[in-house]
Amino acid sequence: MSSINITNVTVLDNPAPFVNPFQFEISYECLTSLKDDLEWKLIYVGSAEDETSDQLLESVLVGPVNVGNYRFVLQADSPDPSKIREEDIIGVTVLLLTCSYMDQEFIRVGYYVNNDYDDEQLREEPPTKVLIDKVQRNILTDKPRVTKFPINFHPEDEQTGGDGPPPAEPFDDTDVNGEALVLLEQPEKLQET
Amino acid sequence: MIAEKPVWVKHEGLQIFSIDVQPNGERFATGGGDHKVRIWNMKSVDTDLQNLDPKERLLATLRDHFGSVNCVRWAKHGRYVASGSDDQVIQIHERKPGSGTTEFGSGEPPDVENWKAVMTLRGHTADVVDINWSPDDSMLASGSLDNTVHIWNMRSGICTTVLRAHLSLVKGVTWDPIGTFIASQSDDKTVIIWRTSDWSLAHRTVGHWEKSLGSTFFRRLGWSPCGHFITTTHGYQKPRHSAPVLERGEWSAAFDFLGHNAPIIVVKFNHSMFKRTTSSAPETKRAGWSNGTSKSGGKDLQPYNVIAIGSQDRTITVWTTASPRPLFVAKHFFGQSVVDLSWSPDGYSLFACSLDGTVAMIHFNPTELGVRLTDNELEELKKNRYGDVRGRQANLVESPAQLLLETVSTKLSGSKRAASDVQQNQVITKPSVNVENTAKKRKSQVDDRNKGAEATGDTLNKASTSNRVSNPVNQKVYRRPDGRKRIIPEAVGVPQQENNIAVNGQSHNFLPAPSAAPGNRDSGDTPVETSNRDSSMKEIMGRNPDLKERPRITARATITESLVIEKVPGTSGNDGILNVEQSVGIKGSSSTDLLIRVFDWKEGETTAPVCLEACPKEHALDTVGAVSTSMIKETEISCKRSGETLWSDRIMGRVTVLAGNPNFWAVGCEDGSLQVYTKCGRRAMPTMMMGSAATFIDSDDSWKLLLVTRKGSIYVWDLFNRKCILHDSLASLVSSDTKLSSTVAGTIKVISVKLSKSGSPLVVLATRHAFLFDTSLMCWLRVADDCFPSSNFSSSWNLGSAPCGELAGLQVDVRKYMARKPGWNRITDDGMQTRAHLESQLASSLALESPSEYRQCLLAYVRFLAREADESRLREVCESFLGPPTGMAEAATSDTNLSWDPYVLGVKKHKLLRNDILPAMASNRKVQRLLNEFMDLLSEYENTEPADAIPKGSAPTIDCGGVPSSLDQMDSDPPAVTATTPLTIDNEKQVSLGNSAALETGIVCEETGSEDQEKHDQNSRDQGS
Repeated sequence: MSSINITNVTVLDNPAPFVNPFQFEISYECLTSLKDDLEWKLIYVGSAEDETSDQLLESVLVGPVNVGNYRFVLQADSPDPSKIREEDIIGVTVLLLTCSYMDQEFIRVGYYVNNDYDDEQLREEPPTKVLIDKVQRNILTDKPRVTKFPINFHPEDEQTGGDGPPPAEPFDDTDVNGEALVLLEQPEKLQET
Repeated sequence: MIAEKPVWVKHEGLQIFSIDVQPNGERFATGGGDHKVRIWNMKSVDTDLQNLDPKERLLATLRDHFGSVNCVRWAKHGRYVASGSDDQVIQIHERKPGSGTTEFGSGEPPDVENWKAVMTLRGHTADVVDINWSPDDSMLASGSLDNTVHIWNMRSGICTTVLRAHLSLVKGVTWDPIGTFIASQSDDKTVIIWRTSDWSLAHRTVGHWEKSLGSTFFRRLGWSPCGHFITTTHGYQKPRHSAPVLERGEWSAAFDFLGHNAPIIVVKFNHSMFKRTTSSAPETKRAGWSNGTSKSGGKDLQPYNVIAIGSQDRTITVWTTASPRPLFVAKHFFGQSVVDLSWSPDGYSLFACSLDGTVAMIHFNPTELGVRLTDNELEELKKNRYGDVRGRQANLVESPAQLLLETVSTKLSGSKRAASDVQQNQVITKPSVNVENTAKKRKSQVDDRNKGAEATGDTLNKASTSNRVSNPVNQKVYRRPDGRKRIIPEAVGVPQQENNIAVNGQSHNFLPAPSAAPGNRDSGDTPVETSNRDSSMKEIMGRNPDLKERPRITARATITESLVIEKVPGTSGNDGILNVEQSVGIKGSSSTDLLIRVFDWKEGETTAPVCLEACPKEHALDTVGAVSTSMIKETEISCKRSGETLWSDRIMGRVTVLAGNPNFWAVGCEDGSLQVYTKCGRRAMPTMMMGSAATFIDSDDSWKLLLVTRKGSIYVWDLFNRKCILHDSLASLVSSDTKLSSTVAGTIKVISVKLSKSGSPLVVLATRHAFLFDTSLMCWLRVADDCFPSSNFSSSWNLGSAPCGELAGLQVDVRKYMARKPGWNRITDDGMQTRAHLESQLASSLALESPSEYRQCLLAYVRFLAREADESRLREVCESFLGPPTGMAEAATSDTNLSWDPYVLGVKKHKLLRNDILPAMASNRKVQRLLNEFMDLLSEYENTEPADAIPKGSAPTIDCGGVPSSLDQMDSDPPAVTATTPLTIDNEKQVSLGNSAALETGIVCEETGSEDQEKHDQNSRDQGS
């Protein structure tokens, strides 16, 4: 089971000029609390043929991850047009919103993005040099493509199913004696008493 | 009889593998080839309510599986629905309060009801094909293509037992309604009856399955509600396919249901028995076997079973055990095989699903099936035959202590999550002004934008934007010390208090940088990155973990991949002489510089690392009249700190290895010489001659130097005392390896040789097998290997996950290496391998002196033994942790041979026994006698233990109410592990109260301690609702 489900993504400020920052209001539900933060990334696919032209626009950590419903706004700068081939700026490309836990990606939302001039005349006769300030960006919000990947959110629970080791824990009393010791615990003090 | 095919029940047109009706009759669930479980409204198939709003038909779609859903089964209480899938896991779903959601992006309308996965059962290593709940819902049995049946404890979600006796895919499991047995059917053409009391094999039946041909998706067998019959599937009796029936007790095939033209896939008994109302019912001659009860008494009033059979021939037959002919044959309902059947709770409706992706419902009436026995009548009937069955359904608890420990046990497994919750509760945050500011700024920014957007009057977005203005997202954004942006999201639809907790939580991790602990991962990494300019230095990055683990001073040596140590058998006339050969990997160190960096933490983190660099220099020497060499190879050694040269030296020949720490430097050359320098570059000793080139070198934090030569000699010196600690050879590894690998005889590839954290040489071969030299045994121990490919345990090391211990690191290496090899095939474990693996892990972690891993392994091992109810091993483990009998302890200490060390890796064995081993044992009640025995013994020990173990601060008290005071003390205790733990104190205080009381105190203490945490859990639950 996935501990995290996206319940909704609202694209704010859309359509907008190409140079405007992206804003996504992301709502998610959390079914089991997680120890670590979630990492959300926004990736702009510069060219369909070439993965190296992908631009990581933003990467944020979101947490703490407790049971419940949450939302936040992910804001990211617009892609750097100098890193996109001229001929790829205008036209349809893809924007990817991904979420990972402990470096394991478990969900990926893909949006088609259409970039075009807002001016009728420019659309008819595009200038040879792209006028980036005049480009309008439109994210096709009604057709997100969602892909989920199975990951284990609670590797320490492996023991429930097999004989997996419990999470790496130092020798201490955390198990039985409750919170006080857990709190004070520092990584350096763990081993070899 | 009315039959219908609701076309709206579908899984995107794909197969429907399973169907099950909720025991209260309100819903039914289907599982399909689209990886989804769907929950449907029963009202929509009710003949009277055909006009129900179509939107109310599908109540929920559960998308938690990543493979075809092969089986869905409701618990008897109807609260949970379990589903088993090709993705090897079983999901337990429950209806949560609130309205349903939809999956974002699916384009489907939101669910009517809010069903969520609440538990995931992991453990099978292949597709889960059939599952069934125990009569009392306390357990779940699952059959899988990994040839096993797993038994799961449904309170904890822990797999308590793995039944391994089938030789092929298990495709059906069923519970005895009396609770004494379960039966499983497999592609090995047998049915096995297992006892639920100890999970032993009661009977392996070979029967009419032997001649069966072809393969089937399922072999879903069924147990009659009276408990007397098991109807199995996929039998064959020339010329017809059959459903052989086994009788209880004999477990032999009594008779067959005959007539299907293709293999039988599924049989399903009606939940209840039936009886005839009138003697005028169409009664043919009774078969002698009717249902195993006495044949006297009112013939026609004799209750009988009703069974439905589904087959690959696309037909369904319904039979009663009172008649030798089918009551009903349903043909032409489906285009493909029938794969699952389910009876409605009233017993008069039959649900069927097919691989053609459709379902059918057949409604009967009492004149066709007879009159259903009431539940009481059925209970009475069972009671008459089997006695009171209630006591048999579970392994009864024999002592209250068992229950208490079980609670601890479940808490242990849940403790990790709880702990983090607790952390969040406890921390009093000082949200730095920065954070607040950024958040505010950000909010206003967002608002501005919204206004802007509104101003443009964009119709497309207006609705959502205005909506947002009235309800802006209340999130907090700030940068962590490492520069990463972190957002604390706004909790939606939860009490404000919870929100506060969310804000407080974990922020202690992200307090401003100066307070970050030294050795912080980020500050540690930074200098390293700059050092990556040297092409041959890839290893540096890879060895980062070392940096963290050696707290003060770190040395790094260049380790080159794929050095070949070659054993040359007898070429030079000397048997067993080892040669180290450098393969292409190193590409001639003549062209590449060698460089190492040493970080001296003593001098503060600001100090730039000291680099030792070896640059080959070649001088053309024109020797007058010389015939031979025209080139002399020299190497310049220079020691630098941030560009400034501290010292330099020049050595003849090519340098192969460098090592250093703040105490000394060591330089090994191709010609077999080794030069040791002091910190400031003085030649501390004359050149040491090793006989062959040094290939691996490592040093620890102080004065230990490890060297491996090309001929396979290994040395460890203590340079401070100028003493050789160890001189041995890798020869034993060579010979052991040649058997395993297909490489040229006498050759081993070594990846790394270094000093383990415990200071013993650790060698990793190219096979990723790791060997540790035990200086007391004077021999090599293999601490990591691939001998247990199918062990369940090994599958749980997660690759590339968060920082793990030394042993785990080695293990992961082995697995990564194995994973690269093609042709990996799925081997199923018979439990032997897992055990052996755990045992060797345990010993290895002990050898590596890695306490945390030792404890992990110990826990896993004890859990495993408990699950397998391996009493003799458990006893041995417990005894080894308990020590010699009390009273003899003093005598024993005088006897040096038998002296028992009460500590293992610095931790008190009794503590491990009490806090870890015994609670872990409590997970299986089968070993509770053993558990009780050791609890008694342990408390005896503690009573006799010297009182001086109690710290002065704690005044002994007899009163149980004294616990809070000791809690206070616990809070103030440093986290460092000491010989005496607060819990120990409590137990020792309770001397006069006896064992069970002492134990209770321990538990009480624990529970008091976690009160906040429970509150928090409560909160989260509230929040969830």
